[in-house]
Amino acid sequence: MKIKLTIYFVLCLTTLASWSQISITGTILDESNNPLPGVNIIVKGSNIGTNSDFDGKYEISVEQGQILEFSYMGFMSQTIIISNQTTINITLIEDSTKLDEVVVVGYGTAKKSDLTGSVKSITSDDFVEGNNNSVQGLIRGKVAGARVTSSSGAEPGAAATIQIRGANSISGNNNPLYVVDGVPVPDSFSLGTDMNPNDIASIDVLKDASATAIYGSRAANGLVMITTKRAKNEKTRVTFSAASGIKVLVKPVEYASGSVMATIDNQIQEELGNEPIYSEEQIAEIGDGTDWIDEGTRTGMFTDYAVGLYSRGDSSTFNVNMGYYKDEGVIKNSEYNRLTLSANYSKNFNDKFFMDGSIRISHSKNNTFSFSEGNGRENVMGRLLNTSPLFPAYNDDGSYGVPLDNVATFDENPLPAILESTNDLRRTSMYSTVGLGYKFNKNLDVKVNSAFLLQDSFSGTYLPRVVPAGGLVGGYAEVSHRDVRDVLLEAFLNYNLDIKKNNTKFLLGASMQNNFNDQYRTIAKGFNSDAYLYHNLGAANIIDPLYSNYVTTKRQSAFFRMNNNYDSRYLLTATVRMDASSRFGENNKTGVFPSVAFGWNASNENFLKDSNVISNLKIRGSYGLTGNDRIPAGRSNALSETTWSTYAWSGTNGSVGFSPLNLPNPDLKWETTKQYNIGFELGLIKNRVQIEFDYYDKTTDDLLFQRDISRYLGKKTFLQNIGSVKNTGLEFNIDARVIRTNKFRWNLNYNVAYNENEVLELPEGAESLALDDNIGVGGSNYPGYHKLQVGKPISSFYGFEVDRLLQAGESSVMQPDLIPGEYTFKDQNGDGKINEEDRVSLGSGLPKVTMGLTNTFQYNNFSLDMTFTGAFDYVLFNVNKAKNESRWWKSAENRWTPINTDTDIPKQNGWANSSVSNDRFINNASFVRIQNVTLSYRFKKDVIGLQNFRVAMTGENLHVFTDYDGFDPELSSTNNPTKAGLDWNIYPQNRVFSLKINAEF
Amino acid sequence: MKKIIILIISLLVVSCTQYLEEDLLTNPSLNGLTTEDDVKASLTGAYAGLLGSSDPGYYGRNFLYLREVPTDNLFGTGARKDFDNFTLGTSNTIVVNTYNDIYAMILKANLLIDNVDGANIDEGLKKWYKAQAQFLVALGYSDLTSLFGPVVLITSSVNDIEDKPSRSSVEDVEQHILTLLEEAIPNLEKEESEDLPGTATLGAGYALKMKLHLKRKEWEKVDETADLITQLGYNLLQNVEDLYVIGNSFNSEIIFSVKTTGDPYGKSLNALAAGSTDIAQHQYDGQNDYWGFGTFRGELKVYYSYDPSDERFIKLFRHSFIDRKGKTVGPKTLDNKNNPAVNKSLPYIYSEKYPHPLAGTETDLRTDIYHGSTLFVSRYAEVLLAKAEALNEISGPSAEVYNLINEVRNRANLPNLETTGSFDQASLRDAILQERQWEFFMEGYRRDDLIRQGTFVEKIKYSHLKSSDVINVQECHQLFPIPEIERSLNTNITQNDCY
Repeated sequence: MKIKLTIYFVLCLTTLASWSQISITGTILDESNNPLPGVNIIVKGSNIGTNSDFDGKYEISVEQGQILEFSYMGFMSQTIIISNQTTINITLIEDSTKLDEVVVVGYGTAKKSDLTGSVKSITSDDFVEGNNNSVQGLIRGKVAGARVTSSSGAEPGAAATIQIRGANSISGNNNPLYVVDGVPVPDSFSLGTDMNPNDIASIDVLKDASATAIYGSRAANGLVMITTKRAKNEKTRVTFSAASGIKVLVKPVEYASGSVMATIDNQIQEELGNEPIYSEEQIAEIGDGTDWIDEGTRTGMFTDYAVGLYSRGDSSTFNVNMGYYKDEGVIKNSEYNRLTLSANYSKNFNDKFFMDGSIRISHSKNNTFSFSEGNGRENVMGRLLNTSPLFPAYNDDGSYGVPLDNVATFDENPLPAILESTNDLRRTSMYSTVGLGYKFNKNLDVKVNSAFLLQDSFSGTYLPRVVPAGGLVGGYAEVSHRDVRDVLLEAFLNYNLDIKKNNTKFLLGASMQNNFNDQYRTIAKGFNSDAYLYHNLGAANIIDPLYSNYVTTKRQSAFFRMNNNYDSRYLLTATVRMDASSRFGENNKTGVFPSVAFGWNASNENFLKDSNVISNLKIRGSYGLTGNDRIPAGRSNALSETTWSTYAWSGTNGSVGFSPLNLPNPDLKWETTKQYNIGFELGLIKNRVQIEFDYYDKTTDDLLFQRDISRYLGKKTFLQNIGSVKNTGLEFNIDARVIRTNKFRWNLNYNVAYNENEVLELPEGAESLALDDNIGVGGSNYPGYHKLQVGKPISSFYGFEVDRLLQAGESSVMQPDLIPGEYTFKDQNGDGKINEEDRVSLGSGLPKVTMGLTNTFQYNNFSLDMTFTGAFDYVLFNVNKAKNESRWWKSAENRWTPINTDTDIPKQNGWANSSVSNDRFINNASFVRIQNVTLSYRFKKDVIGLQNFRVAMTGENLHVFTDYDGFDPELSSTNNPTKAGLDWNIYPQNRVFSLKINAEF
Repeated sequence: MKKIIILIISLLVVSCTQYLEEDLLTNPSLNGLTTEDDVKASLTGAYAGLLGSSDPGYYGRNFLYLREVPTDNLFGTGARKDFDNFTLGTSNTIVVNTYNDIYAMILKANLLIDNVDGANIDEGLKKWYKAQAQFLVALGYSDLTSLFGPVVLITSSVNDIEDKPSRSSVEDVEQHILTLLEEAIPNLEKEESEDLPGTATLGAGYALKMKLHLKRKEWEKVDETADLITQLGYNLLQNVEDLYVIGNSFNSEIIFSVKTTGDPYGKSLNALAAGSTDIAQHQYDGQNDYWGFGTFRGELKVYYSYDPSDERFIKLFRHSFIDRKGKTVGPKTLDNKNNPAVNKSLPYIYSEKYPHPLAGTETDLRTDIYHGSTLFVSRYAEVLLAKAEALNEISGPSAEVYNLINEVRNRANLPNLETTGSFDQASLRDAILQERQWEFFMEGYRRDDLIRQGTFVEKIKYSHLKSSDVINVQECHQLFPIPEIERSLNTNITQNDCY
C-alpha cells in the first residue's frame, strides 16, 4: 500500500515537472549493435537524469534547447542538443583510453591508466552477494593476493580478516589499514562488523609500496580503501533492498551411538574379567544416546533491510542510508542485530569554496559465546564436541540431564551454558567527518579534513547456577565497558602543472591523528538469586578487583606525492611520508617511508596506438618502504605496573605499590617492509580481455619481537626490533567479457596468487624458535607445535610422523611410556630414540596459492553469478579430531580396544602418553569451494513501474571439494599469523540460502 | 589566502613533538620518583617481590618446596617428588620461578636505590628507604647463594642487555651482601615503622647479617651480632602456638616476616599477597576436612622424634582427622609408632603452623584458597640457638650455651637439656641441630642447617622411617640447578655439578 502511494506521489511529481516538456525515447547500442544497459543520461545543468534499461532503452522528459549527455564507463560520452525530435538512438563508441576505472588512492583518486602501483578496485556490483556479516567478506575471492578468512567461522557478528600478500609480521597482527572515505580507521574500531555493507560503493585494495607508502608506518600490510555510496546522477533516487535467508549447519561430525559405546565398554570389562559397567536396562534406556551437536544447533536465519535516499542539486549532493540487519547463527542463542544510519552531504558554495560532511552511526547487539581455542568449560563448541552421548540432554521432567551415576566422568551438560547464560555485547559507533576545500584556480586546491570517531562497547555476562561454571561460584557476573575515541585533522594541497605534454600533479599534506582507549571490567560472584543477571553487582558476595586501563596513540605525519605523466606514455610516481608516533622510542621518533615507481603505457606509443588487438599495454615497477607501527603502548618507556605489587604491611589489608612492567627500549620502532613490484597490464580487443600480472618481493626487517632475556636482569622478555621475514609472490588477474551477443553475455574474472613466505632471520641468530603453544592434551612433553624456523614459512607446524598403533602385549623401546592402543612414531634420524629431534616440519598453516573465479552469465533479464574460491598447499591442525576422534564421535565406535585391534583409531584418550602434534592430525587442507551462486532477474522498467527492480536467489558455501576431514578447510581459530592453521572449537560453518530484492525509484 | 593555507600546513607539519608523548596513566613511567607516595609505592612493590611474581611465589609455597622438601623434614609427592628424590631437571618450574622471582625483586629494589635520591623528601627518609631496598637486595642474594651457590651479581637497575656476565663467586656475592648491610644498618630504625609496619627494622638487619655469619661459620661475629639483637629487647612468646595465630604478625619474638592478608578481595590485586592456597593445611570441602595439596607432608621420622610432652608436638601437629567416609583416622600418638594399621592409614603427618582461617567453618575452601599466614624469615628463637651454636663452636659446652638452648626448650615445656644427658662439643652440636629441627619444623631453616653442619647427605639419606628406604642424595645436591634457559641465553653461565 505504502509503495503504491509512493509511486503515485512520484508519478504526480513527474507529471507536474513535465509541463511544457517533451518526452524523448531511444535505444543505446554499442558499436556491435548490442544494447547498453545502465548508461547515464542526464540533462546538463539540471538534476534530471535516467539510466538505460537492460535493452538499452530509455525515456526522459526535456525541454527544447536543453542538452542531453550520454555517458558510460569505458565509452566516449556524447551530447545531443534537443530540437524537436522525440526519438534519439545513440551508438556509443568504446574508448580504450578512457576505459578507465577511477581508483581510490591515498588522499585522492586516480585513473587506473595513470597508476604505477598495484591496485584492485571492486565496486558494489561485483561484491559477494548473500549474508555478508562483515565488510571484509564482500571481496572474498575477488582480489588476487587478498585472502579473506574468518577465525570465528559463521558466527554472527564476527568480522573476517584480510591478509594481503602473505604475512609480514610475527608479532601478531597482519591486518591491512582500513581507510573509510579518507579516514584511516585504527584497529581498535570494529569496522568490519559495524559498517553496513549496503552503504559501500567500492573497495580498493592497494598492494604495492607505490600505492601504499603514502600511509607510511601503517601501510606495510596493504591498504583497504572503502568508499561509501554518494549521490551520482542529477536527480533524486530512493533505493531499497531486502534480503532474508536461512542458514543450515554444515554438520561437522557425527556422534557415536550411546548404546554401542556402552556395549563396547562392557565388552572391554568382560575381556578384563570385570563386571560390566552398564546393565542391560541402562543400555536400552541410553538407546542412540544424545547427539550434542543436534541439541545445541538450529537452522539460523538472517534478514537485511536497507534504504537509501540520494539527491543531487545544482551545487550539492546529499544521501542518507538506513539499515537493519539481524543474523541468527546456527548455534542456538547466538545472534547479532545491527541498526545503521549514515548521511553524506557536499556543497559547492561558489567556484572556489566547497565542503563536505558525513556521519555514520551504528548500534549493534550481540549475543555471543566463547569459541576461542582452549579447554575451558566456558568454551561452547568444545563442549558440544566432547560430551558423552551416554546421558540424555533433558530428563523426563524437562530439567537438564546429568551424567549417569555409575560412570566416572567429568562431563557436564553443555546446554545450560548455551541456553541459560546471558552474554550481551552492545556496541555503538559513530564516525563523523567535516571537510573544507578551496580552489584557487583549476590547478591549485587545498583541503582541510577533520574526523571524529567514537566507539562505545558494553558487555554484560551472567552465568546462572544452572550453568556449571556459574553454579560453582553461586552465579557469575562480568561487566566490561570500553570506549574508543579518535580524532583526525589533516590538510593537503593539490597542485597541477602542465607543461606541454608533461603533466605533473603534486600533493603535499600533513595530518595528526590521536586515539584514546578507556576500558574497565569487573567480575562479581555469589548472588543470593539469579534474578539480577548482571544488573546488580552490588548484590554479590564477592566482587573482584576492578580492572581499568587507558591507552593512547598519537601520530603526526607529513606526506608528499608527485605524479608525472608524459604524454600518457611515461609515468613516474614518487611519494614520501614522514610519520612520528608516540609509540616510537625516543631514538626513533620519526620514520621516513619513501617510494618510487615508473610506468610505461606502451599502448599509447605510435606503434601500438592503432592496434586493433592490443588496446592496453602497460609495464610498471615500484620500490618503497612501508611500516607496521603496531607497537604495544608505552613500551619504549620504563613503565610501572601494579600487578604483583601488593603487599600487606600490617598483615591485614593489602597496599598497592608498583613494579617495573618492562625494561625500556628507547630504540623501539616500526617494522620496515621493503617491497619491489613489477607489474604488467594487457588489454585485448578494446579491453574485452584485461590481464594483469604482478610479481613482488618484500622483505620485512626490524620485526617486533618479545625476546627472551637473561632472568638476572629481573624481567623475562624485552621488546625489540629484531629478525626478518620475506614474502615473494605472483599475482594474476583476468577480466574478460567472453561472450557478448544481443541476448547472452558471459563475463569472467579469474584471479590467482602465489605467495612464498620465508623466515630469514630470528632473534639471537637462532635457527629455530619453538612457539609456546599447547592444546592441553597429549604431548605435554612436546609443547609448541608451531615453530619459527629460518628458511621455512611462518606458521610452520612440526611434529612426529605416526608409525602404527602399539598392540596388546607389545611395548615400545623408544617410547617406554606408551601403552597399547597409542601411537608409535617414526624414528626420523635412526638414533634409536624418539625425541625432539624426530619432529619434522609438517607444513605451514598459510596457503601458498589462493584463487577466486567468478563467472557471470546473462540471458535476457536473467543473470547467473557463480563464485568459486580456493586455497592450496597448506595444512591445518585438526585439534578437534585429535582430542575427540576416539572419545565420543562415530569414529570412536571403531577405536582401538583390546577386542578391536585392527583399526587406525587410537584407544580412548589415546594421546595420553603420545603427542597429538603429528601427521595424523596435521593434514593437507587444499580446497575449492562453491562460494556463491546467485540467480537474479531484473524486471523491465515498464513492467513494474520501478527502476532496477531485481530479485535474486543466492546459495552460499554450497560445496567444498577437499580431502580435509575437519570442520572446514578455511577456518583457523586464531588470527595470529605465527599460529595459523589451528582448527579448534571454531563456530561451525553453514550454508546460506537467501532471497533478495532491490528496487530503485 | 595562499599564505594562510601554507601557514596551516606548515603548522601541522612542524607541530611540536611534545604532543607525541603517550599518556601513560595506567602504567605511569618509572623514570624518577618524585613524592613520598611514589617512593612508598615503589617500596611496596619491592616488598611484594618477596611474594614473587608468579603463583605460588618466592616466599610463598616455593619457599617450602625448596627449603623443606629436599631435607629430612618433608616428603614430596607428585611433581614435588623430584625435590625429595633429588631428580630435579634443569627446567623445573619451581626452581626456575624462584630464581626469576628473586632477581625480579632485586630489580625492583635496585630501581628504588637508583632513583630515591631524586625524590622530594627528607634526606633522612631517603636513607631509610634506601636502606629498606638494600635490605631486600641483601636478602635476595642471601637466598640466591644459599640455593644456587655462585650467581650473577647485578648491582644496578640499568644493565646492558647484550652483556654476558659470568657467575660471581659465593665469596664475592657474600661480601656484596655484607657491604649492603653495613650501609643499610645505620639507617634502619629500632622500632617498627608506624607508617609501614613490617618493614625491616634494625633487628631485621642484624638478623640477616647474623644468618650470613652463621652460614660463613664466623662464630665470633655470630655471637657479637646475636648480642646486638638481644639488646634490642626481643624475647620468646610464652606459648609457642601463639606465634602461628593468624593476625599475630607483630610480637616480641618476630624479627622479620613476610606478611599476607588472607583477603584476596579487598584492595589487593595480588593473589600472592593474600597467601597462596596449599600451605594452609585444613581445607574443608563442605563435609570433611581434607589435607591441603598433600604437598607438605611431614616425615614420620621427625614426628616420632619429638618428646610426647613437647608443646611444639602437641599443639603444632595434626594428630587425627575425619576422612571422607566419616571415619576418624588416628588419634596418632607415639604409642601407635609401631602400629602398622595406623601407619598405613596415615602414613604422613601435617603441621598446623599454617592454619587456614576458615577451616572447619563449612565454607567450601576450594573457592577460597587464601590463608593469611605469616611467613617467618627471622625470629628470636633463632638468635638464641645461633648464639648457642656459635659459643659451642668457639669453646664447647658451657652454662651459657645450655641457658640459651633451655630458654627455647622450656618454652615448649621440655626440661633443661643438660638433664637429658651429658654432652661434649660434638654431641652438643648435634643436640642444637636437633633442637633447631624441632623448633623450626616447616619454617625453612633445615636445609641451611644441614649444609652448614655437613650432615646434608647423611641425614637426608635416611629421612624415611623405613630404614631400608634410602634416598639417593649426593653432596652436589646442596645446590639447585641454574635454570636451563639462563644458560641458553648466556653461554658464559656454568651449570652446578649434579645437573
